[in-house]
Amino acid sequence: MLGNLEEKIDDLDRENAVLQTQIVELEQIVEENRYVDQSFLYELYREVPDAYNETQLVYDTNALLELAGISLDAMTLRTSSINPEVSIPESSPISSLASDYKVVEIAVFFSSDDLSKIQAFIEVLEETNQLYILNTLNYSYPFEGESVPIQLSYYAFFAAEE
Amino acid sequence: MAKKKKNVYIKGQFGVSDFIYVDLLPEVKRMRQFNGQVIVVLLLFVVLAFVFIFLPYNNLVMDFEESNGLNRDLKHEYALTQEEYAGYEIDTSTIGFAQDIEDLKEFMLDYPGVLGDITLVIMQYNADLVDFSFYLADERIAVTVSMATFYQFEEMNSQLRRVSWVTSSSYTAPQRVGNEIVYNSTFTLGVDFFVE
Repeated sequence: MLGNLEEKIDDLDRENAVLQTQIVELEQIVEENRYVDQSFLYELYREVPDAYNETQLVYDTNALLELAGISLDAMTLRTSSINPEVSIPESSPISSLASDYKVVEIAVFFSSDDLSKIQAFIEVLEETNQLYILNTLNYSYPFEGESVPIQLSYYAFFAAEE
Repeated sequence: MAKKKKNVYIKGQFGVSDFIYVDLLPEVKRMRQFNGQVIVVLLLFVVLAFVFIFLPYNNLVMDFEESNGLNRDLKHEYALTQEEYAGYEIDTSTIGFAQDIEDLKEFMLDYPGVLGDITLVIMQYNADLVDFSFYLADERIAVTVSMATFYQFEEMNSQLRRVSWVTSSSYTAPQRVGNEIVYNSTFTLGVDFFVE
């Protein structure tokens, strides 16, 4: 009889601990989000679109490059490529965050003697509606006004395909 | 078991002695002796039962009542919190999605900031940047620096380590470039994305 009672108390204590954890977690969620405008959150879907569209992404990439003053001409030798099947290395700090999304890598190459175009392009990437994260950037400093090759790549994120 | 009969001598009315058999309940013990043993045993039993059964049971019952009461209170509180949660129409999946985006944005390189900090340090040594590389996967920046003196690379490395977002800094052995008195070394800087 005593053993049975002890077992019931242990079960109750375990259940109470679980309930307390659930209450604390729920209260925390309520406290943090009670005043969040839910309709505003749906605007975030612009940053990570629902569906991946390669044509649209190519168009957007070229538009962003043009916006940063990196035009398509014989001097810049501008090229861009899209890798829709990129796998982010586990060592990357965004690997766990990105695991829930489809990640596409965009690689851009151009030549210029004006390194301010790099900053301009990165600013354009940051200011656009869609979320882009710079992955790699490589360039040398120009010597006596010569054009130098500039390579950069960045990630775009989309809702994971079902 | 048959009771043992006792012989009792009695004188009759005719003066003739006679023996009659009287059953005097010889097996019945004295009352004091019987009650004392039983009472002692009973008392001992009661005391032992009190110590080993009643007290632990009573304590357990109190514990049970306490846990059960707390359980009822917690269930009630949980139900109230769920109602509050439902009342605010909180969408956790959307909130999680927003949080993911915010977390990802932490890893956007502050390119003008990091380049400015590096440039400020190397300008103190009249050095020049030769190239710049950034690798998100390794959370590092590599810059090749050109300087006219061989001996100040270590000092520059110490200066770079003091930059707020630099988690680590190392450099390759300076190499002389051609016949000029210019030395190149590549610095590898660990990047902390969470520095304000």
